[in-house]
Amino acid sequence: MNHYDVLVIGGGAGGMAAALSALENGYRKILIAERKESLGGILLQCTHKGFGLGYFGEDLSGIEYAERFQLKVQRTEIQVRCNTMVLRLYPDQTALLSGTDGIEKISFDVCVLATGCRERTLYSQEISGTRPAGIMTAGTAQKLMNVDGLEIGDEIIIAGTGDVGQIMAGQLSLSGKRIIAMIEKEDHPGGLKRNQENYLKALRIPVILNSVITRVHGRKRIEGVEVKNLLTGELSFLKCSTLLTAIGMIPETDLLKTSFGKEAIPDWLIKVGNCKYVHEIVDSVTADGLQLWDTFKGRPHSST
Amino acid sequence: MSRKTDVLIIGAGILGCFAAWALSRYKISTAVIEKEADVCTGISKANTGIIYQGYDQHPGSLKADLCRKASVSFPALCKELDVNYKKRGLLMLSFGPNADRVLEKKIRNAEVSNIPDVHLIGAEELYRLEPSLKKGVSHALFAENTFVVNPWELGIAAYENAKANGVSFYLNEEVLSIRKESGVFHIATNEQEFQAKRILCCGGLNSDALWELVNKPKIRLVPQAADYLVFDTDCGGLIRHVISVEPEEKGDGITIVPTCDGNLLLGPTRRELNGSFDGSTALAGLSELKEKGKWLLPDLPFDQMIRSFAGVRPNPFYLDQNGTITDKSLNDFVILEEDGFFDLIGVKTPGITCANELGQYITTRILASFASAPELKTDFDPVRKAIPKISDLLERAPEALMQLPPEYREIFCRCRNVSKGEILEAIRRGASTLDGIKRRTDAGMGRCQGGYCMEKILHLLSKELQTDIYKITKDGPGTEIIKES
Repeated sequence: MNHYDVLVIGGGAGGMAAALSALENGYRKILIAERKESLGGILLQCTHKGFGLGYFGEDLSGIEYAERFQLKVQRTEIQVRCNTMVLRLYPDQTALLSGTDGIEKISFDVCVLATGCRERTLYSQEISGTRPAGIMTAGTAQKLMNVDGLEIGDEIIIAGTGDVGQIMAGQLSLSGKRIIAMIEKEDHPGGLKRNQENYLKALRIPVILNSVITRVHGRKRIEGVEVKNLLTGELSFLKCSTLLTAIGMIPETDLLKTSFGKEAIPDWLIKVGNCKYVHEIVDSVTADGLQLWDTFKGRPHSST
Repeated sequence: MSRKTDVLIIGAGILGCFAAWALSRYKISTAVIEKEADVCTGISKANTGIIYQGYDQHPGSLKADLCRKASVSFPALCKELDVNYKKRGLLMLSFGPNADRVLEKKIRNAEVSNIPDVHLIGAEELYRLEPSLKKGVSHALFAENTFVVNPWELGIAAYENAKANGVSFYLNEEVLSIRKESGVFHIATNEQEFQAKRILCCGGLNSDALWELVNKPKIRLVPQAADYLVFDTDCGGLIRHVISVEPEEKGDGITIVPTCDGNLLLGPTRRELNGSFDGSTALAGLSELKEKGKWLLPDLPFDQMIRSFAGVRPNPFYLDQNGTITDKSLNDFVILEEDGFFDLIGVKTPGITCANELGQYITTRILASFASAPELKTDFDPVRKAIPKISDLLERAPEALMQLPPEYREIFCRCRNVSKGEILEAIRRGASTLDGIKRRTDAGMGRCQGGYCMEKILHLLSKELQTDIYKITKDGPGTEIIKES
């Protein structure tokens, strides 16, 4: 069985930083398991700027930010396995990896969970009506557009005003698509100030505050939504043919659930970045990964 | 040119698929037409998937008889078709004397109908079995031999084996007209014309309208909606049995099902639709379920709800001589038959339970209607294998994962660990839509609801079907996933 000092699950910003800092802290044999084709995680679908202001002191796109870290990793002896998913962790410090390279069980001293976060979905909310086509998360839309170069639809309503939603509203609006409205349950839009400035204000994206979507209309493709004003209780109908959701992110810790169930998380496992809690900007995810070993009180590594 | 067939089945829901499967054992030609893009999409997909034992049914009824047979032979059926199922057992709870009497009546039904493994238990035993339930239960009916299954999985298995044994299926074809000429039915669809000696209508909510294309009206279906909530697999451990409540006062109970996949399913509600066939969920229904769920299972975590959906049920009523709906509803299965036209009309609960038995039963009747009854085939191939599941192997035999072809190592669905190989196999077996893949492999059924895998499956479908990516649909024409403008 191949043994590693550190297994890093997830090769996004957090995972890459954790692996690099592991090396600096004396760990030698380090493996990053990444389920996608290359390192970078969600950064690879972010064509917009605003990344790296904290860490690099430069305004980079997500892709550029990812590339800088990819290079840093490549220059080291850190091993990377792409197209590889960790199917399960076992209490005896082993893991089952599955990927295009094959299925392999490996052992490790320390495991870093850097699996990021996932988007909350529409139907996890109390939403009545039909279940038609034309509904997806803002992140899925971002991947389809920025990585695959596809269009997703027109006459768009966005549920929520999360950052990815605002970014997509901006991008879609600039590509000539009609953003009918973003629907926000609070009395102010969510997301970063700079996104509000760059997208909502600059592009005059209509935001309906204090409101939620309560019903989906349309038998085959979505034809509109019912919007409820939470202050007045008033219901209104808004026509659309595409609905994106930007209603929040949830740390992705499924692997821990399937591996350990309700048992305690072992002391050889550390969470980093968005799977711990959802960070506002990538620079702080990187910082979290880099500082990881300062506070790690778990099992000492075998190289010392 | 008409396509000639001995039997034409209208509707490839679970009943149509099982009837086709039963007919495929005989030297007879069978064709099935389905208006949707896939099999088992209507009533067949939106229900609890419980295999009942039949104590709910009036002794001596067809329902009681078929249910009893079905639940006894269900493990063997699932083995034959290689379908996943779980023996859960059902606990029907009573909170007072009125409901106690109903339970006692059901126990007597079970005795009279010769249904094994149904008995009454007291509160102490109940809370030993299910400690998380609301306190205050007086008695419970324990139907130990109750199973759960994914209903579409069961129907798809029958479809696959029927197809392997020579039944032709025509999807996306809707019946436009039927006429009868010199003892032969001429059925026009939006695509072609069929000539059939017999028609078997398994048209679900349309089975009354289809009947009336050639026959005198007899029964009218009154649609009723049912809402459901689905909870994440994390909640699956909260209860181990199917739980239902016999209401103490007049009103509808609630059912909680730990599904085959370990999710919790709450439902159904019963909502009158006043004639419409609107299969959408209603806020009132969802709130009702939430309220009842919280009441019955106080620890139920509502932040783990991953989906809600609705189904429409047919409620059959007899028509009087003037063609008006009487208040005489049908309690038993009714099979209309008129001169070679058979109709499984208004089948609802326990339709999933009895799908196989109804298929065999109707086949016997159809065969008997021919002048000389068709013989059994000698080359019937009973082997149907399920698509291998990485997630199952991971639990049962991780070493077996190594034996699978390389495409089974690439994970497409992160929530349910569904591999590319499973999706390719589903496409090979006839899935052409995103929902078709979902029903055959579980991809997209987990907590992220396709957030990760949808884009990957979209590309794979486009590549494998050699279809433009903008033409790939969720569930048939008009439901394209992405739209070019």
